[in-house]
Formats: sequence, C-alpha cells, structure tokens
Amino acid sequence: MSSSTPLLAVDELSVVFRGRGSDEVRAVDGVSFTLEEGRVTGLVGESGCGKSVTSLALMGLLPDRGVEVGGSAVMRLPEGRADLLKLSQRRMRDLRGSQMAMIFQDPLSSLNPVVPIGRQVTEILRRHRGMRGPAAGKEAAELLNRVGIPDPDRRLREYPHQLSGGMRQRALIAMAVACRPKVMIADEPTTALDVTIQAQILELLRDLVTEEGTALLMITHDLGVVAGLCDDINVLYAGRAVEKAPRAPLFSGPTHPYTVGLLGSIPRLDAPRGEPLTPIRGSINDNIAWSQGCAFAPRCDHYTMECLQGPPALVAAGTAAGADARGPDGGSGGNPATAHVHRCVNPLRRADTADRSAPENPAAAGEDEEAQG
Amino acid sequence: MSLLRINDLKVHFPIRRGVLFDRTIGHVRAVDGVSLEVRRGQTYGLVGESGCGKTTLGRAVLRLVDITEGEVSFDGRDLAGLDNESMRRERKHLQMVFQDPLGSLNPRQNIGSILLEGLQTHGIGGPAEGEGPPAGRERRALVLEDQRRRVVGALERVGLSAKALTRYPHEFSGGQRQRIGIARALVLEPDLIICDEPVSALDVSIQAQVLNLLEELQDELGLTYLVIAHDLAVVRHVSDVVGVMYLGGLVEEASGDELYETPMHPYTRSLMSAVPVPDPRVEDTRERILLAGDLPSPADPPQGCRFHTRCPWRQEERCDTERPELRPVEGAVEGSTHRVACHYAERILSGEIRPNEEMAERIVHGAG
Repeated sequence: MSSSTPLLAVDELSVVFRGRGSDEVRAVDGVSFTLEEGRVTGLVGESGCGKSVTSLALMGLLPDRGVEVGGSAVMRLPEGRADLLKLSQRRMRDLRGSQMAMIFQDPLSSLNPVVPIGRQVTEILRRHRGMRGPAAGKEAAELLNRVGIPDPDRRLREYPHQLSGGMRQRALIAMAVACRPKVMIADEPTTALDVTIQAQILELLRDLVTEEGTALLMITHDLGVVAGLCDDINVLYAGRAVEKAPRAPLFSGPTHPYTVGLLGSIPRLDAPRGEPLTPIRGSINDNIAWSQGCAFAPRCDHYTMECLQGPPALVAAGTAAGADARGPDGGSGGNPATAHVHRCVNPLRRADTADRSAPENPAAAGEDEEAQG
Repeated sequence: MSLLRINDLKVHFPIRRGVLFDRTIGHVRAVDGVSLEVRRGQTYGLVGESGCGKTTLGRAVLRLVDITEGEVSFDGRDLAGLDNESMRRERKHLQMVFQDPLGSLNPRQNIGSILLEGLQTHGIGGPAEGEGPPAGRERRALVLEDQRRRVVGALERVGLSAKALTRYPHEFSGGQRQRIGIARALVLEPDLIICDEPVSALDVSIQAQVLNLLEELQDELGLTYLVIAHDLAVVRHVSDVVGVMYLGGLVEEASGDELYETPMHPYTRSLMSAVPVPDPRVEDTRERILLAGDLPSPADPPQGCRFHTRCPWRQEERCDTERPELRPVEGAVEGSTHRVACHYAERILSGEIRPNEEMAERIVHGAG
C-alpha cells in the first residue's frame, strides 16, 4: 500500500445538467477530495449542494444524455490506475459491486420488491465472484450474519417488505460488502432510520472501515453523524467545497461562515433549553453563480465587496486551528488530505467561533490527534 | 395551571380480516394508557421513535382519530366526550402544524384562501354580534376586511408579506411553506398548538429559523405547545417538559435539563446515547448504549415492561410480568417532577444493577 498515491483521487469534478430549452445547471462545480484505505471522508451540505450528484458521477450512474461530467477521478485498481470518468460502461459494470459499492438513503426503493432478499444478495456473488447454488446461499447467509441480521437463513427467503427499515439497510450493506469493495459510498445511509437504529448502522460502518480497510465516502446533511464517524470532512455549498479539514479542527475552529452557520443552526443535545440558535438567513435558492463571486455571499453576515469580485479560491485557513491540523510533524501544509482549507476571502477567526467550542474537556483534546491516521 | 390534561388515554386500532364478514382479530395498541399535563404557556415535548404512538397521541387530542378510552380535558372541558359538531367548534382553540408542509397545503388553493378558510369556518372576524350594520352586503364587506387584516397579521408574524396571499404553495420554499402552516394555525388565535415534527422535513439552516420563530411566537402570544418529534435534540431545545414514549406508553417525564442530566429509564439512556452530537470530543468520549434489534410490534406488545425485550438492565423478577407505572422518582430533589416507568430506575442509577453486556449489542463506556 503506497501512501503517496491515494486510493481514489477526485480532482475538479464537475457535473453540468443541460436540459433541452432550459438553462444549464452546474450541480457540481469543481469538487476535489481523496479517499484512502481505512479512512472515512465526509461530504456535508444541505439539499441541492451537489453531494449526491458527486456520488452518482463517481459510480457512473448519471445518464449519458444532457449531462456533462468533467474533471477526473483516478482510482488505484489491481491492474493499475484508471480514471473512472473515462471508463466504458462495460468496465464500470465490472467495477461496481466488486471494487466500489454504494448504499442509498431509502433501503426500500433500492431493493427489488418482488425478489426475495436471498436472490438479490446471491446475484452479486454470481456476477462478480462466480459463485453458484448452495455455496452462494451459504455465503449470503454469512454476509447477513456479518452485518448483524439474526436468523439469516429465514431472512434470505423473505421479501423486502417483510423486513424492518434497519434490517433492510443492513441487507443493503451486506450486498455492498459482498465482494469486499475497496471504496464504499454511503449516501445518507441513516436518514430514513430512527436514532437507535442509526447508531447500530453507524457502528456497523465503523467496524467495516476498521476491520476491512474499506475507504468510505460518507454523504450526509447531519453534522452530528459526521462528528462521530468521518476523519476528513468536505463542506459543500452550491456545488463547491467551501471548507475542508480533518474533523477535529473543523469542529473546534470552523472558519467559513457557512460551516459556522450550520453548526449554529443545530440544536445540541448537550445545550440547555432555549439557548438561542443562530440560523443562516434566507434559503439555498438565494445564491449567485460562483463565476461572479462567492455563492454564499447573499446569505452571509460577513460578506464584503471583495466577496463579489470573482470566485474565491480555496486557501489555507491561517488560524490556530489550521496550524493544529498539520499535526506534530508541523508545516506539512502541502498535503491536501489533512490541511484545513476554506474558500472565503473574509473568514471568521477562531475567536469569533470560540463560544461554539467551549473546551469543557481539555483532556480529550489530545485524542484529536488520532484523526491524523 | 394545566391547559391540557390527558388521563389514561388509549387509542387502539382494530385489525380486521375476512372475506365476507370482517372479523376483528386483534388491536394495534398505538397509545396504551398515557397520562400527562401541559401547563399554560409552556412547551411539552413528546419524543420517541417511529411507531411509538406519539403522532397518534397528538391526533387523538384533536380527535382526528377515535379515542378508545380515557380523558382529554382542555381548559377544564372534556374533549373525549364531545359530539363531532361541538368538537369542530372547539378546534379553533387547538390547532396543529404538520410535518410535511407541502402535503398539508392544498396545491390548488392560494395562500389567502388557505388562511381565510379557518376564519370562515369558525365565523371569526367582523363586528361583534349585535354591533355594526345588520346582515347584508355591508356587513359581509366589513367581515371580509377584518378577516383579511387578521390573515395579513398572521403572515407578517411568521415573516411573510401580504404579497404571499395570491400565490400558491408550490411557489414557496420548504421553510416558507412551514411558515404558512404556522400562520394557518395562528390566524385563529388558538391557545394550544400541536406541532407534529415541525422541522424534520427541513434543511438544517431552515430548521433553526423555524424553531426560533416558534419560540418568538410563544413569547409574544403566550402560546402553549405540544411538540411531537423524533429528534431528542430538537425537543430538548424547545421544551420545558419532555416526555419519552416507547411502544404506546410514556416511560419517562422530566424537565429537559433534568432529563439530560439524569436520564433514569434505560430506554431514555440508550436513546440519548444514540443522538449524534456535532462535536468530535463529545462523540469520542461518551457512553454509547447500542440496543439490539427493533421495536416489537404494537399489535402484540411484550408482557410486563414494554421495553424488557431490549433492555440491557433487565432483571429476572417483575420486568417481564408486571407493567411498571409512571411514578415519581424516589429521592429526587425538592420540587422535581421527574417521573419514570421502571421498577428498578433508582437502583440502575446508583449502579447497584449492572447492565447485562449480552443484552445490548454493545455498550461503550465513555472515557470521560
């Protein structure tokens, strides 16, 4: 495993939808990140920020017509490196399921309602691992057992509607891990589930990453889920990453006003009753094109005239938090995977956000270093 | 003083089967013996997972579902015994805000007509009985003018302008639609608003706007809320008193701060440990109780304590035979209203009863 080349390097990915007779929509507008073995990378943002389209583009699941995908996504494959965006449909079909897998938000609509769970699981084993008959059935039962479904032999004969929401999501995860993929993309995997079930599923994903060394791309709107699971986080807004950082500096010293706004919008379980929330003004419809300036400027309380003079670049966050991000080896700010960067010309300094990061437990700060991996 | 008092409320839905004759073969016990009080001017938050009966409870208060048994007393009047017409008249004092703002607004009605409908149904607005011009065109014009004034007032309270009146629901964003839903409830000047998952369909930044709006309205108008939600963090944020429901019953009730400081019921503890907190330091160090399995079917709830099939603290005696009542916590501080439905809550809290590691899928003990 060479640490110099990442498992999957996504560079300046862009997706443009061009409907006939309507304006083009830039859903993803230059998103870059890397996935590494045994690490969880998070894409966070609200609806319409382009996080799901990013995952569909990587999996090659976007339609051919009316869609333009740009940039590159170079993945380390057994036979060498290849750009996923340039591979043929046929080649992608081989990779999907064996090298990369995806878990969707709604487990009921991702499963075929008229086919028993067992056949849906063995289909993957047949397609990618050439397993047949009882051997495939046995392996399928083992997979269900692995993801914590009790009595797997009975469940294999059942149909999706006979399973609870949590069970269905587990079955989907079993199908996703059937061929031990290198890359797993989870698009809001727990949004449709209750919190106690969500905790079970997140624990399962965490185990898969640590035990199998899978690289997980976690797509979610829930900053709480991100805080517990992701190593590196990309906050997206209107198709671009506005802030990227390992989780410890991101949560202790966010610098982009949008990230700060998101954190200020969530009622926290450990905050007392009535502690005022600081919402972001307006809605995601109130933005301007990135080519004219910062898309977030119309909703931002910190914007200056400079924000409207062309697109802001992704620059290193020159704060104390940003320095922390580089860890003990110090000054290796050139490594994009661990640096704290933001796309903002008038960022918040750490002092402005200190109230959100009340260091009530200074002993825990030392453990933040483990995020460096 | 309590505005709403619910006593031993039960809502059972029959399960029917049969080709020619429907036979009732069982009941789904959606709400099975819940008692609670909502004080005037306060917010009562009801939290629980899907299928625990929290929405049915809210709908039963408004009599949108039939009450099987029990009392619902609102401002001293018993709602459970009212006939449909009297209940309809009573509803101007109790309004509801629904989860899905698009689904709860008629797409073919403009906002003005949506908001006017309630006023017209209840005959609100215009000069008082016996005053002003007699019935006729002149009086109707006065009534309409007053109703329009009230509608615009309600829209402005929720941060929208009179321009919205002639527009249709699809022209608004999710957050604005939820504001319209709130304005529709407000326009009747109700005493109690039942908010069923008021923010769960909204984006994070919009959630905060709506939650702040609900708080402001309460401060200005002295409203009483019954907030029903699955998100414990949201409920804790808005509520004075929090009730936790599990499988049709209330398992714990306390002030929000008390519940967070000392959750007593094993279900509350596991629920609380499962709610993600957007802070890695908290996430890495806190205790996590992962429950095994799923919610049992409310058509065939477990005997005894409803939670005993998943409870890591389950004991040999009483848990599977005797259903615990919601009772005051022993040894609580003076003036505390903390109630819990667990036979062993105090002994679990003191650490006398240890969790059974096999019952929970995993218990991660916090370092801190």
